[in-house]
Amino acid sequence: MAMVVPSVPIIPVGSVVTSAQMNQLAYCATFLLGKPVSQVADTVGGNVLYPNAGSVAVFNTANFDTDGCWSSGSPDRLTIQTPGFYKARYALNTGGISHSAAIVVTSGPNNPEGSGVAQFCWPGSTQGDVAAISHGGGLVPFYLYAGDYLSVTGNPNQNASQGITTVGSWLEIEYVSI
Amino acid sequence: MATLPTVPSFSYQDTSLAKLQQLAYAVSFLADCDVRPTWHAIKTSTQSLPASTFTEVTWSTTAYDNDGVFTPSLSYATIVTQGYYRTETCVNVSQAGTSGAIFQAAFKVTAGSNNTHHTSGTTAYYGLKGGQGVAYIANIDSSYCLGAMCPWVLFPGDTIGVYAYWSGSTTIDILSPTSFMTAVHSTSFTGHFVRTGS
Repeated sequence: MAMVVPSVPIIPVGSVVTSAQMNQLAYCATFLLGKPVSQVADTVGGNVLYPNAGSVAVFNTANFDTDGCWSSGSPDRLTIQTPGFYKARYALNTGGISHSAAIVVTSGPNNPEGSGVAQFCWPGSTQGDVAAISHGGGLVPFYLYAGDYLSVTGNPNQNASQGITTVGSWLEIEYVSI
Repeated sequence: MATLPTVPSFSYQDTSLAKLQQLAYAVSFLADCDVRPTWHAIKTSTQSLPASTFTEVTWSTTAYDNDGVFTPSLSYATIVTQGYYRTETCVNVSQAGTSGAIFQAAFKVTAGSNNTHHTSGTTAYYGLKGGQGVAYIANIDSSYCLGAMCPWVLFPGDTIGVYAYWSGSTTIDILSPTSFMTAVHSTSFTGHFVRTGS
């Protein structure tokens, strides 16, 4: 469920500050203390990723999801509910299979770019043996609108199943700025 | 211990200084890393890493630690203020002549007695990164930098440690830090409060 994005009140010189303006300012703090964060994880494994196929990871549980960005009906993505700038980070566990991976940010219907525009961010890679867990993330380099979504794509050097040894794959987002 | 802010509500013709101060503190907590729980621990001496065993990385000192999370022990962060946290670490491992060894690093959270969601002593790894270390080249370390939000809301007394794994015996390395600024490129552990949680 989307949070109301705060707006900082403008208080002109010489004006009497109203309680509405003070509450508007207070809401900015409330919003930041409870800002949207989501982290989804794969604890069962088995989803198959294919070479050069644009396969995406799936997640079966949300460790936390304060804004309702994940649903079991769309287990491969976090869908933005509250517009803003976000940090994102991921890990992809393919057991022992070498792979590259990245977060794919895809625009939704509210994005001025139009729906379906994909941007790859933070490619990572790892050479496998018994463990191959790539890892990356950072500040999403553009503003995200409600309905935009983030997924983790993996490109293994052979068919690979998502692994769960020690820690399975995961994806997280954190609201940063209006 | 940082005090979690309480954001006030203002009424018509409210003149409460206390409420203004409450709001000012909330802003300080959010905007000032001297108030919001934040830490950075660094390693200034090497540590042996046994073969094929997730081993807890210990820390030599802190560059900053405004909530005293390393006061009980320098081996791990002990949470003081309840909430969601983000942690980051860089781990350097000397290859000791090993080529193609498996290298993994992760955080491990352990529930303390105040955790209302997990029994005291419950543990979970998170933020794992793993694969083969770089092919052996003399004097070149394998290094991982990883970060993640802890998958749990953390309560006072919960702990977070950094763990490393190498498939052969080796050492967790340092890059000869002589000051805080050089040490930031060495094995280190950073964390900060992200938001409230219950």
